[in-house]
Amino acid sequence: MIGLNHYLLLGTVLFGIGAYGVFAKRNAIAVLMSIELMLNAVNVNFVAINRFLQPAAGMGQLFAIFVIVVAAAEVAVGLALIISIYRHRKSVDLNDFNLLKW
Amino acid sequence: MSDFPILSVTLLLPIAGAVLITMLSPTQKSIIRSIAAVSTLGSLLLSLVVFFGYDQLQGGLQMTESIPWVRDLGISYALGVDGISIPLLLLTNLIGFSAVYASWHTQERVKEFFVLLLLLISGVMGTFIATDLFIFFLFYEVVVIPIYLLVIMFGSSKRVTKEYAGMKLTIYLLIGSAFLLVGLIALFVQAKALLGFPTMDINTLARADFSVGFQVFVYCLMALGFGTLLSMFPFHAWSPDGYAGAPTAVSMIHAGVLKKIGGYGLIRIGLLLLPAGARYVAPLIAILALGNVVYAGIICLTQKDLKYIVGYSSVSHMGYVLLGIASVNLISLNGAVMMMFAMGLWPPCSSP
Amino acid sequence: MLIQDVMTFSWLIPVLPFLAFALIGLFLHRWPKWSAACSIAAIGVSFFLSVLIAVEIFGGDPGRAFEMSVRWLEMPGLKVDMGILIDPLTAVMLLVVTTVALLVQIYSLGYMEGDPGRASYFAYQSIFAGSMLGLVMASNFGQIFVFWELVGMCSYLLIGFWFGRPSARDAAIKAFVTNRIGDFGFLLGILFLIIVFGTLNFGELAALIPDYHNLAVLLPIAVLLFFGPVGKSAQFPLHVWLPDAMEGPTPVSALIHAATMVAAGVYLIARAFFIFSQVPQAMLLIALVGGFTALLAATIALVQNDIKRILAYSTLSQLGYMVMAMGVGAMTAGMFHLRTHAFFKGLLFLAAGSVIHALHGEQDIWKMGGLAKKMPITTWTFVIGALALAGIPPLAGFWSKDEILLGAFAGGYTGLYLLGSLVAFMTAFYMFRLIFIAFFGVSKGAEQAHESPPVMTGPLVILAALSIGAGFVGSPWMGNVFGLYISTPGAVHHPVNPTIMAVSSLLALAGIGLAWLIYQKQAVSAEKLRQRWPALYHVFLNKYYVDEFYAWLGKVFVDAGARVLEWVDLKIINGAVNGLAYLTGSSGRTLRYAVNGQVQSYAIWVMVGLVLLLATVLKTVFTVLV
Repeated sequence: MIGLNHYLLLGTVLFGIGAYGVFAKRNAIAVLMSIELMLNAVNVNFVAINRFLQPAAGMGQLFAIFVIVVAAAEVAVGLALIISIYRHRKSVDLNDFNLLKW
Repeated sequence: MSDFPILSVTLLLPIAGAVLITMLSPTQKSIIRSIAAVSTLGSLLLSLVVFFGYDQLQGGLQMTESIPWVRDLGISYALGVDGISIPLLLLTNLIGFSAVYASWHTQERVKEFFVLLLLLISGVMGTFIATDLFIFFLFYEVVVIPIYLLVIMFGSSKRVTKEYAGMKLTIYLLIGSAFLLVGLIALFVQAKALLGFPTMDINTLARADFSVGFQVFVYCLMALGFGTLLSMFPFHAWSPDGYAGAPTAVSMIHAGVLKKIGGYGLIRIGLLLLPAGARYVAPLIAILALGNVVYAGIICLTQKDLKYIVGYSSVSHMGYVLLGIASVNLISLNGAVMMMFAMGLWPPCSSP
Repeated sequence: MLIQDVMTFSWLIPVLPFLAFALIGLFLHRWPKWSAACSIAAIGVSFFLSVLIAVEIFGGDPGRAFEMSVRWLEMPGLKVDMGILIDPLTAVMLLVVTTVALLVQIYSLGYMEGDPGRASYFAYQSIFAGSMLGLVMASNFGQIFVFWELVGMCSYLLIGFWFGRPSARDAAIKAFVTNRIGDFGFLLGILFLIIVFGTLNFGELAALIPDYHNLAVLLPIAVLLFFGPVGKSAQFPLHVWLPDAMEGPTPVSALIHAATMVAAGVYLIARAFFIFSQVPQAMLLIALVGGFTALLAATIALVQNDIKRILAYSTLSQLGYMVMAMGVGAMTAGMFHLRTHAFFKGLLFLAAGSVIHALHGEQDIWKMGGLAKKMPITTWTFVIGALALAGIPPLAGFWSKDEILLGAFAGGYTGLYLLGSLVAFMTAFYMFRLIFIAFFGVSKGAEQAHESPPVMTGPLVILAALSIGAGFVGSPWMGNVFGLYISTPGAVHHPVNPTIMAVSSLLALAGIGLAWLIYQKQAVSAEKLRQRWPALYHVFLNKYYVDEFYAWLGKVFVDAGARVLEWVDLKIINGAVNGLAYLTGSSGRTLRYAVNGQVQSYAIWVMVGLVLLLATVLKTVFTVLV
């Protein structure tokens, strides 16, 4: 029987993969995709907890939809940034994006 | 006449002059100079009035003014003069006016120069006539900033660059004031516990019966803070470099009155509030003072630059003041104040 | 009553020259003539007042004194007065100082003619006169110290008057620094006095000290106080400054470095005689130092070639005589010699100045010669001065020198007596060596010389008259009026000893005769003597190498010490400060590599922080729950 724990475990694994991608990937697009993974891990958690603990409320589903919307906007902004940086640096490698230093 | 706030006017005249100057165009040099001269002359005349108006028979604090400021912390804008502060007030204004006179022919950045100089003069004056610890400390901090800017903007590079000299001076004074601040806050907190109400007034604080251990602790902090300002051995390294780097007018104020804030503070705050602590630490201070006198005096012998000679000898002479303070008796204190006044007069005379 | 008024207005004596100084310094310095007039008028009035005071004092009882004072500062444990004390001792000094100062200032009108710095010269002269008069009128040690320093300062200013010359500058600094050493001890002695006795007033101390028998305290006080005279009166080992002080204008040498200021040390010993006479060891020290200085300076004077330097070493020698007199207890004789010496040595210097003036600055006696015909007044007044200095009866120097020798002999100091006689012989010899070479003999390049103007010869004549006559007041056959007035408890008087008089006169005559033989008659060759004892000659000529020794001391100890301390200051203290700054800076520089601009590394740090924070929070939550 698949229970809440399995969903939470899935969420954790997804989040971990995403976090790993965010910290370790050198390609900016891949980092953006990893962020999507992390957001989706959260979505899985929202939906699962809503379904198993408070089926009547539906608040979790609502939030999941919000997250999907925000993620879409975020991807739009993020891609725009990456394209903008790409125009200057001719690269999407994060190692070249070292503007945030002393 | 009795309700005329003479001390406030004396104190604020140079600041008012500085504010006026900021509204002028940098090209109106002669007007800027005149305003500076008039405001410092006004202060000088008023301080003469204070000097001669002081009732010597009555003694004590006179011409006091007090406006409550932050009630919860017991801070008020309080001024007053007594026998220790009057000579120093007079000295400050004398040297302030002469400093303006000595820099009459400054050509570059006249506006900034005089604004900063006037602020500096007011700051020094404020420390001498404040009777509230907070106001004292406020003016003490007001002094540091203009002197830094004056040194790095108008100074001259000798053995070291003027930027180095200015930065060294500022860091020394700020570290000293950090020790001082800790001491003042400790005093305030302890006094609040002992007296039952918050106060920053020096004479009220003097009524609190601090324990000996506490007095020693706070006096050590004060000795570090004021000692740095007074160029106590071995915290004197800022003084010769700062003196040599500063422009003439600032050298006058620096060696003439700035260091006297240290001596004045040790007498006014150290000895008045913490007599037991002062006695306990006195032998150590006396030894350091002898270090000043002999050590800096001997170093003078090899100096070839007049400003360094004056710089080291002012370190040496402040040793006498410190020795007078460390002796903790009436004659020596009189001597220390007299010495501060007398030696305040000569470095300006010998400023090249 | 007029006389009483004179006493009450006696404070004007030092104040007037000070006023003149202020007037010249503030207003008159643009007009040298008016400056000079102002200065001379002030000292003239002081002279007049001093004469009135002398008349009053010497017309009354010997013990008569007048004292008045105002409180200068007072606090518990310390009282310092500013006052004047006029007793016979002061009256004598007032007369000497005002007379010589007045004559020297008049003489300076001629000597300093055309010098661009005349106005300041007269201003310095005025402040010196004021300080010196304040010194002799002081009623306590504190005041005497203030004026003591002031005269030292004037001496510095006047030695370095022609400060364009490096030698004058160096001489001024040397005089000042050497005097500081003496003054340092003097000040310590004064502080000792106030700690032990609580007062500095001469009268009060004189009443307290005879009953105070603790020699362990009195001895250091006396020795420290003696430091002051050692510096100011140029006694060995601090004698080095006086010969160099001749770099100043000659009238200054006459007034300050011969007649008055250098005698201040002797005056101080006389004034504080009540202390010194209580401590036999100190008296012995004073006598030995004085005698040694007298001999040392006389031997050096034998071989010098500069007219002013010969006179300077002679002054040193005579000061040694006075100090020796004090030390053997003959305080009256010392003061008497001070007074006569002031006149004849002032005369000698002024006459030498007249010569130098005529020869446009030439000071080498070998380049003079034959001046007697060109400058008769100068020559004969100089000869009178030299005779007085040599101690030929009945001139002033004879009486006073005889008193000193008598004091030494009768006091049981036979060694010092013999030494004094030897010095008397040498004095006569070197003075007449100078006279025979410079004034008589063959002229060597002095053809242009001509007699000085009356404004310069006038003072010479007056001083010559004083050099002849001033001794009679102390002459035993005139009742020794001087000794009657100038005396304190502890000072000794001895009956006349005709043998000593005869011996000292004969020695002086012998000295003159020898000089005549060598330098006038040239019966004995000076060159041969020099070759016979070359070592002695060079030691004398080089002043026993004391200057070199001091220079070496200064170089080895003072300079090196100062350099070491400067190194400590720059490297250790400044080094610590800069090291601290470097530590701060370098730690910042190292840590900034953590801030590498990589967003991902920042994110990792955020993550690590979050995890740690979460772990702590969870840990507390679990401990609370479990």
